[in-house]
Amino acid sequence: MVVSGCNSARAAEDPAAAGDIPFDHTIHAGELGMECLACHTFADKATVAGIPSASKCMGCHRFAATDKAPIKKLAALVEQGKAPTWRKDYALADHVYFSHRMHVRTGLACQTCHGPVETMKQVQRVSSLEMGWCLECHKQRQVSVDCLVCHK
Amino acid sequence: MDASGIGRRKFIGSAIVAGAAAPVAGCAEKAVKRIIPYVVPPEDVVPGEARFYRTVCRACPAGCGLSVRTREGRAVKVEGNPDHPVNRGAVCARGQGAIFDLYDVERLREPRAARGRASAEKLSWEAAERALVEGLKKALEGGKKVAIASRPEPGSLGSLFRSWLTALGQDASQLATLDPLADPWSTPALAAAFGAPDAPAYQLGAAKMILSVGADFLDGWGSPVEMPHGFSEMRQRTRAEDGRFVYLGPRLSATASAADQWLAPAPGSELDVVLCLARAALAAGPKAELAPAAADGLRSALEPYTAESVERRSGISAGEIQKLAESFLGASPSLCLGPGPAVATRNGVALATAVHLLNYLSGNVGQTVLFHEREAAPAAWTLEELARAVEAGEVGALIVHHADLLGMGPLAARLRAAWAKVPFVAAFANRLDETARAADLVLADHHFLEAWGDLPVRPGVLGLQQPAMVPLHPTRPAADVLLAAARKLEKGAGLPEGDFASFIRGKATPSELEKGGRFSAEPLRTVALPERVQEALAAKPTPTPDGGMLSLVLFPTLRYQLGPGGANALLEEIPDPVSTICWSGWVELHPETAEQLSLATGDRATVKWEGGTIELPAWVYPGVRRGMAALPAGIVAGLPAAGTLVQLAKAGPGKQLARTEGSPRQLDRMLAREVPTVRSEVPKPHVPKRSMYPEHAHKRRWAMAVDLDRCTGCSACMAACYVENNTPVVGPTDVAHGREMSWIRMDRFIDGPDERPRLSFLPVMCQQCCNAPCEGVCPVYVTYHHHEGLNAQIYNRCVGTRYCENNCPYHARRFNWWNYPHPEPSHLALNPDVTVRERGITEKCSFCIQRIRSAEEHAKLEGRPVRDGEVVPACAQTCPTQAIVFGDIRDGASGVAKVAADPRAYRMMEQLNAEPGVYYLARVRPEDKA
Repeated sequence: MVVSGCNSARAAEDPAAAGDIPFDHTIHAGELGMECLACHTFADKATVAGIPSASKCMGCHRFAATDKAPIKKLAALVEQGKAPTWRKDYALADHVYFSHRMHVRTGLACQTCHGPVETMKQVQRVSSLEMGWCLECHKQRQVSVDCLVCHK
Repeated sequence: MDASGIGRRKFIGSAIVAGAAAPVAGCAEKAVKRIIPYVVPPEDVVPGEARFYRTVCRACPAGCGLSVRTREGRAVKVEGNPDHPVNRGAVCARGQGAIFDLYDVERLREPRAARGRASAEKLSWEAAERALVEGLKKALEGGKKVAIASRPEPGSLGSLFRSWLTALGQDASQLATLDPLADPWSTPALAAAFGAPDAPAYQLGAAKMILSVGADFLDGWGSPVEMPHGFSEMRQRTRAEDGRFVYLGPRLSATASAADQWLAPAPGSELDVVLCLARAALAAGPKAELAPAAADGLRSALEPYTAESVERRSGISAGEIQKLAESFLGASPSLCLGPGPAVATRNGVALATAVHLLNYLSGNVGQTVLFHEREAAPAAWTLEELARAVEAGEVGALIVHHADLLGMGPLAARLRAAWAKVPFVAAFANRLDETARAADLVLADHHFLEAWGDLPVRPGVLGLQQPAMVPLHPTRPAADVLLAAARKLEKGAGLPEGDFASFIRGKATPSELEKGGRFSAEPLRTVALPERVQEALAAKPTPTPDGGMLSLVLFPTLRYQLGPGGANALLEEIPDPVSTICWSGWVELHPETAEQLSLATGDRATVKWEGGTIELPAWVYPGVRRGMAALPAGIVAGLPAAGTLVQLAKAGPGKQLARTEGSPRQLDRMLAREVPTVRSEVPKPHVPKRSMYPEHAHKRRWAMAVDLDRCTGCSACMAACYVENNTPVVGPTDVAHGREMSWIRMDRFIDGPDERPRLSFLPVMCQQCCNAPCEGVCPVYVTYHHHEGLNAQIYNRCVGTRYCENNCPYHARRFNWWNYPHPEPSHLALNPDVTVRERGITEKCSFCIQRIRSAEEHAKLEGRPVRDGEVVPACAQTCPTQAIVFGDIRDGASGVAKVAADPRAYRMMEQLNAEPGVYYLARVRPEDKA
């Protein structure tokens, strides 16, 4: 189920979120075939996957595609000591404990929850992130469905 | 699921749809969340993982070591540094409260100009530094003195103050220290007894017998963690061999309640009792070197202090005094501590000298009383000298550094009167206290968790202070502001180049910073009694209470020891362990005295003395002698010494007192139990094993054991729990309504006859029952039994019926009556691992489930089982006496299983068959001495 409806609505309300810098996963994860973990470096090490720092972007973009307008914008931002902000599509409620590393280390592909990101020009949330959706998978894979595993 | 096929979940779901007017549309109304990445990521930071920085605690001058937990670059909790020899891993409630100070809404964020203005006006740092330079220049040009008044700064900052004064052409001694923990009688007594060494370190752990002369070392007198820790060690070591602790003083404090015997002599007669013991020590042959001439002088000076004559003055029977002398002199080493503010009358110096004398004659000096070899302290002004210079108009500029001269201390009234004579006052502060409000310039300093520094506690123990986070506000460290001012005045010669942070970093190695300090063997020195020590023992008579006049007793408290209170919401909310009063001071009266004055608990009473008055609610307490009025020390500046006669009168009925006391008596409920010896077994009720439910198949059973023989009621566990678990502070009105949110309740019972009351403390958290009464009554499955023995509480399922709270026999559950706001920047203090509960939800102790979960996850990642001792809940971590043990009780080798197998172990209200997971170890109270 794709629940992009509310995402795009939100994007319309929030002009900044519409993407001053239109990051395109189809180029990075698709054409270039970069690993998810190349940028989201903490997905197998920590509870959160991590958003790459601006300096990480510039690690490549000091040389790559420097003539493109969005990259010029990025370089100018970093020059000012700022980082671009991104819209958070996968936001969990405050009472949920979710550990990326525990999921990645069992061999789950990122796409299981995040969908085929490598084909998305703009990332759309593909899972409801509702408790039932989590439990379905937990039951299917016969892992704990105890409340305290996820509720903090 | 019932016959109609509609399960509970579906029913609730359809109920919500039926009430479709309720906005349940979910995602559309959620605000857009933004992710802000780092520009350059900090090295080694793993998001979501805690990082610890070691530093030192500056919440009081004791100098404990801290290990500060930070999350994503902000400090969220302080824990003790286990390598620091002062506190050995524990932290007191005040230290835990440091996080509240750091994120305090009222913390100063920028410099201000204050004196003579209705509200302190904000300044830029440029303007403030210009004003500072101007003020200093005027003083220097006018030939006036520049002086500094500071909190104790024995380390590099103190040296910098002195070199700064020298660089400005001033005398380096123009530095006065306001130490709220230092007793004014301590220095003169040391001078009289041993020729002025520095204050000794007390080794409570090495003693076999302790006599406290009004020294409430478990209530905050002295080092708040080191002393309880040492006492606990003494108890553990000597319980089996009849180690004794006797308390001599007019009030049953938490310290007195921990004693095997509480003796309350007539006001002022403590000196006679101590001298009687000294006489006995001399008669038995002194255990330390004593010149024959000195011995003769002492012998004749102590001659009148026979047990019989002391009985007449003190009201303690001669037999009792002799017994005390025998047990004190029979134990080697023993330790006499004090005097504390409770008994330090006008004769404080004589009494303190007598205590030193007794320790010396009993051979305790060098064993339990250690004097350190150290360089002579540089000359410095006393507060008295500062006040005199201010009164004479000699001080042209006064720099105040975290010292509330006008709000506390013995000379506040004098300084207040002469304040206008100082043309320029600049105060380094974190908040607008009374002194800052009266300063011309208020300079917003870093909080200590954001600053560099060092703190030598004694030779061999140097704590290093490093920032745990970048400063929250555009504040500046005091040292850098002073250095910049000196440079602008072109008087920077001899001062360190660069800033103070690099100066400290240059002095410490990375491994020392990682350890939290430089710790080595402590060099000791010997001391000897001067020949005419008896001259310091002469006493002035203490007035006896009569008519409407009561004798004053002062006692240290968490809330008022460091000043007039009100600054830290956490310390206001945590009830005083003895009175259970929160958010206000109080005056304690014996029931008979209260009746004579027609005062009842809660009535407002006016306490009047020569030169001051204060109105406080009364608390009627059988644990204070008749004819006495007991006040928290430091509650108001300028309180006279204990023993002074004060007048007390009813001022009128008061509002309902905010206090957490339930029924003060146990009434045979056997909650906080006692046994006569350490090996006695607690009689347990016969409980037939029955339950409506099948037995739980626990994979693991998390359990806790609390040794009531170690617990002193200090409430550090409560403070740690508040900070760790985002527990809201509710304020006095809600506490008065019984709506406090603390997950740990420090029960205090007053048992026994009014003539001989006994206090006992019982920390009560969720008992994590196996047959939990709360679980069965929850209609929405919020609370259920977890396979590791926990009572799980799933907050977002809770609909607030409060059935569980009503059904909990331990009253361990709390209900959120309101949404408690976390105004910016206090929201940064929240622990991200714990949900912030909202209005309408019940909550309770979770055994720090977030710590259990984290330990389990790390064990799983490393492919090993969770080790015993790996999970340490916040309360157990901070406990100064290590009274709390936590672990898996099904693992027979675990620490908690061993403690729970002790004959003293019991579970509260076991007859209810709730099978709690919290074990208590009964307190040892030898019967004949109770």
